[in-house]
Amino acid sequence: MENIIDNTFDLILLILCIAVVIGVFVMLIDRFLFKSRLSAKFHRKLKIEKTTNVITEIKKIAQLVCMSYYEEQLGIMEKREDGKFYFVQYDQCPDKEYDSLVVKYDGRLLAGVDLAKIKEKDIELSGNTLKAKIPHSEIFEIQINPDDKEFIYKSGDWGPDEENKLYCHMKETLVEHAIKENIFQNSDRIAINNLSTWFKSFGYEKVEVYMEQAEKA
Amino acid sequence: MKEVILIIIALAGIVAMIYLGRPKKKKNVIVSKRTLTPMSKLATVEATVKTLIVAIDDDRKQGAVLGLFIRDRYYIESMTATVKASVDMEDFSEENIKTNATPNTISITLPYPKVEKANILQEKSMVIWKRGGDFSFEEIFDYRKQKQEELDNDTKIQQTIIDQAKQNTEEFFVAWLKTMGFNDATINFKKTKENS
Repeated sequence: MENIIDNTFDLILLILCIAVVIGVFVMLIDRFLFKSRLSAKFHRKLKIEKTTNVITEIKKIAQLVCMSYYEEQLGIMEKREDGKFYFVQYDQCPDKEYDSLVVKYDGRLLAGVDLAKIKEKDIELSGNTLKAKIPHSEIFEIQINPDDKEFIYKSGDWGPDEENKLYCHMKETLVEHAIKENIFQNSDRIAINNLSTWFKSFGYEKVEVYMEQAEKA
Repeated sequence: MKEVILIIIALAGIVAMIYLGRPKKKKNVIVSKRTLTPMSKLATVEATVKTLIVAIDDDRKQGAVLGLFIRDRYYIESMTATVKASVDMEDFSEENIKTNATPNTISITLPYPKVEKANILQEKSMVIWKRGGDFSFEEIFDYRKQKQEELDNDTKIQQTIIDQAKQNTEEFFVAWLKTMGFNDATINFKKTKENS
């Protein structure tokens, strides 16, 4: 009797052992050969519920977009001993000592001239000559949309609020970089060119478009 | 025999623990792309759109075998976006203009306004309700992506914005052309397969 029990126990242990070894083997194959694609099939992708989108405000604008600046940025944030958050330069690695969050952001910034700011007195006509004073370029939009983001890595406990801080910081960085790349100067130049072409095509032989503060084109 | 089997199970367990416990391998990301592109687009309308992201992970409802042990998860976030419509002036030239000298009138044909991709203002978003466990960044990013796709394909919103853009563009050009000395101006929009 004791022998039978002993044999049955051995058999169960052997089956269990084979199952565990096969399990680990499949797991490793999935991870390294299929890059976790097999296990991913068992994770259900959740679809959001359909909700109504409501327009709460409609504004009349006249923005002549002349320049678009695009940048791929790596946002890195660290939580250090003092409990404060620190943003790390994208070309530096996060310190392994601290908890860190890394997200890739593709940002786009649009700049141009606000034509709504041009008043009647800014356009001078005399015969076939047109002179127009236009305002300097400004930033119209900073876009980092959900499909422009990619979660890369995190260590420690991070939530949406902290990611929001990183997102806002990356928006500021995008503006800084665009200014360094002379977005305003380039946009001013394009605006003058574009508007001069428009005015000429309206029939004016001599056109002079210049920026405020007497910076004549 | 028993000892050998137990050792094998223990070793397999250790391998599994190491595998599951180690942090995910960092992705190699090359981040260096910066481009400055000239363009010529006249945006004439900006709409603010408010919406909700509602994600309900109801495993029991979907018939999971272990439904009793899996808690339902809920995620609700309010979202604000701006949507603009603009006229692409890149190809605008003299060919699109007709002037009449005697009554001093002008008629111009502009490209049909296009609704731009929605700009989601994440800084104005707020998680309203979260229950039943953690939501990973991948999940939250994915919910927001789905909502953006939904916004970009919302034909009702697009039509409202296009109608407003046509009206605003017309008003803008008529006022401008009158300032430039024309007595009257007519604005037309090019018909394409998409909008006819």
